[in-house]
Amino acid sequence: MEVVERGWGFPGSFETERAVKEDWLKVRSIADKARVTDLMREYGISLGNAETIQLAIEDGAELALADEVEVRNLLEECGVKVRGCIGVLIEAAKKGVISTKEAKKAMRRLIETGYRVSDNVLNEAYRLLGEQR
Amino acid sequence: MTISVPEKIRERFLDEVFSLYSKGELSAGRASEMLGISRAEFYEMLSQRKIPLPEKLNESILKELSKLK
Repeated sequence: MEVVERGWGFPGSFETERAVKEDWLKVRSIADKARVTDLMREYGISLGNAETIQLAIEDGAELALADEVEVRNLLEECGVKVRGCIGVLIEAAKKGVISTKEAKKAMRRLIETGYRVSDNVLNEAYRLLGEQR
Repeated sequence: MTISVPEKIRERFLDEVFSLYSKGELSAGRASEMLGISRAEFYEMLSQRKIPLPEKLNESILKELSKLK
């Protein structure tokens, strides 16, 4: 589950549109939009994060992608398994979808572009990939 | 009503937003909403200022990774 803003200059929006065209990604609408506003007020969370939670609940999602604490914790409380960008990269490498080298490169790129995980996280990620830093 | 904000105040506001973000009191989503920019633009600002992830988020990721088998 992913919430992406449409338009040029938004990372992911082009890829998302292509994935929709290739039909492995589906665009879903939220049925209860009022509940999204309630969630935002109740927990003081952003619109995108409230939409992620509501959609996960409505769809009975088993797993959701989320990279912010406020949404990760709430999803887990709702019984939804959470995967962040680092976790996705490790799983993809373990399943052979991408190489270990590609996973490491993507992690370095995440850090360069502002998702600066701690050394502890990076060391653990490399360990799971079976690599030394 | 539109108010023009002096540069100094704008900078102080930004500093405050980044400080709350790194303490984990303000998520990237909320911060970018407050600044009226996209999350991607907010992360770009974090990268320019070399601001690390909030510790709570690092812990949450470590917890997630510990469940990966």
